[in-house]
Amino acid sequence: MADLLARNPGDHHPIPSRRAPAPHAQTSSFNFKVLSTQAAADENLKRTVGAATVKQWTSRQVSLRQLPDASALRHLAGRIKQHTLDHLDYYLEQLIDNVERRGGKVHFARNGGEALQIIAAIARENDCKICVKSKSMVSEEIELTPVLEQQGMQVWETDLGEFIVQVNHDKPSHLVQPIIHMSRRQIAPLLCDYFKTDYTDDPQTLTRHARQFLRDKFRQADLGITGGNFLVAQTGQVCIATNEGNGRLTTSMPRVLVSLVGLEKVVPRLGDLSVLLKLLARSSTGQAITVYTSLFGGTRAAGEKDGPEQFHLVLLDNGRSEILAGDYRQTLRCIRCAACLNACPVYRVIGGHSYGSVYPGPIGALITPLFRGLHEYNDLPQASSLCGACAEACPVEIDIPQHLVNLRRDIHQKKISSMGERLIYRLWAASLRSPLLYRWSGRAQKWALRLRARFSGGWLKKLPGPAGGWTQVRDMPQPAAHTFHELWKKRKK
Amino acid sequence: MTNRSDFINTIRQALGRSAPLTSAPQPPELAPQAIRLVSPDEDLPAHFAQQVAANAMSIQTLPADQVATKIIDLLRQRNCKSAALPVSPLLDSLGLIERLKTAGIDARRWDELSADAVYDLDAGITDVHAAVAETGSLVIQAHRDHGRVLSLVPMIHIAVVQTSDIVPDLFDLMEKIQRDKSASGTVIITGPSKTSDIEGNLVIGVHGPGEVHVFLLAAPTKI
Repeated sequence: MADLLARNPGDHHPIPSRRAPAPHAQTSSFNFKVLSTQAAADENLKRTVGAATVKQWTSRQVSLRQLPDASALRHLAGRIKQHTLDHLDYYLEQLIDNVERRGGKVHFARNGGEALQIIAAIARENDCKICVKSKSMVSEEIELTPVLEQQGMQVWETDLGEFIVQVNHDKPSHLVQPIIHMSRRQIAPLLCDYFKTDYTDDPQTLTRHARQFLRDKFRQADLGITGGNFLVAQTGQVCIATNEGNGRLTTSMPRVLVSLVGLEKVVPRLGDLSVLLKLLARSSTGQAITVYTSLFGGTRAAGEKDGPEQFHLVLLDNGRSEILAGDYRQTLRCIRCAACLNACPVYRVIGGHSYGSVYPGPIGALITPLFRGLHEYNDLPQASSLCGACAEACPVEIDIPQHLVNLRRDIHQKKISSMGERLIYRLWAASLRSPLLYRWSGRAQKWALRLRARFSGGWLKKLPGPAGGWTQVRDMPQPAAHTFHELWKKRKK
Repeated sequence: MTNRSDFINTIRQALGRSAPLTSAPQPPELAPQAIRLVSPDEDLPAHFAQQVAANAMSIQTLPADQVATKIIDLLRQRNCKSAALPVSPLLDSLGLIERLKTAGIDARRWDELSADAVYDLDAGITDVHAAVAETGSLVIQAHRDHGRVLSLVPMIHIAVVQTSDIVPDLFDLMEKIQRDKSASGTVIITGPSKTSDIEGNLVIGVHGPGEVHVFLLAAPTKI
């Protein structure tokens, strides 16, 4: 809180910066086991995340059931996205031509560093001082805000959740609800301190304060930055879906507008957009459509008094073309609706920060290792019980469990997992391949476990090694005296 | 920085191609009957009205000559002293600006306003480019006569909709937007601005209007 209260000269309110992130936000030397164990022990977090995800997931179920044939629509949506990815070079060229036809400029960023340089240069060249941002996961992915602040700009997150994240020097923990991990009692003192108002934890009042505060920023801002839910190749437009109206203000007021979008967001036609829009909000919050769906791109027309004078579309690769080339192309269909997060029994317990990246939950467990490398993130593909709830929830039919299994295979084949683990699996595989070895190893295990249980009343109180996790909270019964094979043989006679 | 051709070439190689496609790819067929949730045969005004109400907006269906009176009533009731309007043949034909001024409301048309001035006005009264029966949405396009801020910045947004504006489904809306490609921006509005970021509590009126009122003209107005 100390640096929150440090005033910036010339500004009534301190400018929050992300230079000092919360401990869980530090991603170097990512340790999933430590983070997820801590999170799972945090009763407050579990209650808050659990309640919010179940609520959204329930709304999603109700909302999809209102469609006459939800699975057919999801199948079509998946096919549209897959077709676009399979012909991405063609549709990107079409998109670029059409954005330019609208008076926009398209920039190409091979990685996050290039995107940061491009956007920083646009801000510098246009002498921009105050930036308003609407919610964008890609800007989190490349950590845009600190770079703009370093060149002396004020940068304001304008989505309420993201604003609270910014004030709290935190990181979002959900794709749609950035502060799903925070309770109202945690948010209230933070905002009241920040706005220097009397204490209230009434969401209505807190939101009204934020509206008034951010209105001035919108009015003064000379740079707007958005992400993009979709890019429409046919018209050269960006589509963003929001509920608060901050996205509209961001694209209407500042004279310079930048949209930073991952290259996988393209759809061919406006008709395709209608299919995806019918699924996006339903999958996400259960709404039929978000309050605002904006289509924009290019500059204001002659004689117009609002809208941007300059429009820049920054297309970001940052590892996406590598994914496109490999076995995981299907994962790029993702429209970031967060249905898989809300459906996931693991996410509900450990929350988003445990995943160590801006993309949490089942889809995060899948794409974070693909984006950032399997070595550092080799625990994430294990962070799933493979129950299949994510695949069932996905509006574009990404087979998340299957891809997680494939990643586990890759981890094994690339020898990323520990020697001991690989040895155990090798022995297990060998015993499954040979009936003789299977029988012998089964007998040996039975014998050893029964011996161990003999002195504790036929129950195993403590198992050695990794198996110890099982007996930490419960006892295990000893194995039966005779195996199934033995009984089968005996009774056949 | 990466240039366009290197950027596209990387993607092309990732897709296993060395040259551009020689013909346009065939995207999946979009059969209207498979996508539409509302068919053109349905009672569109009724469906639209129902969805508008379901999305926390008010709706009144009434003859054109009563609209101005009802809008003035609403503004007085909400203690609105000023309003911004686009340059609109429909709103002009209803004589709205003159009626509002006579009633003592500071009504100003977009051609005499700046975007910044709209921040100080109490209400925005607009026509629409289209309306969607499926979702109860108001569709507004930005152009020189209709600023983006009019339906966005004031706390109250009032929209005057003609039955001929209503399209059945988002699918039909997209076809319409494709046909009239002149606008520099389109927004589909479905309710007042809202958030549930704080512990899932619904709060209405975040950055955009906190109230949206729809006046549906009973019969199409000849302009």
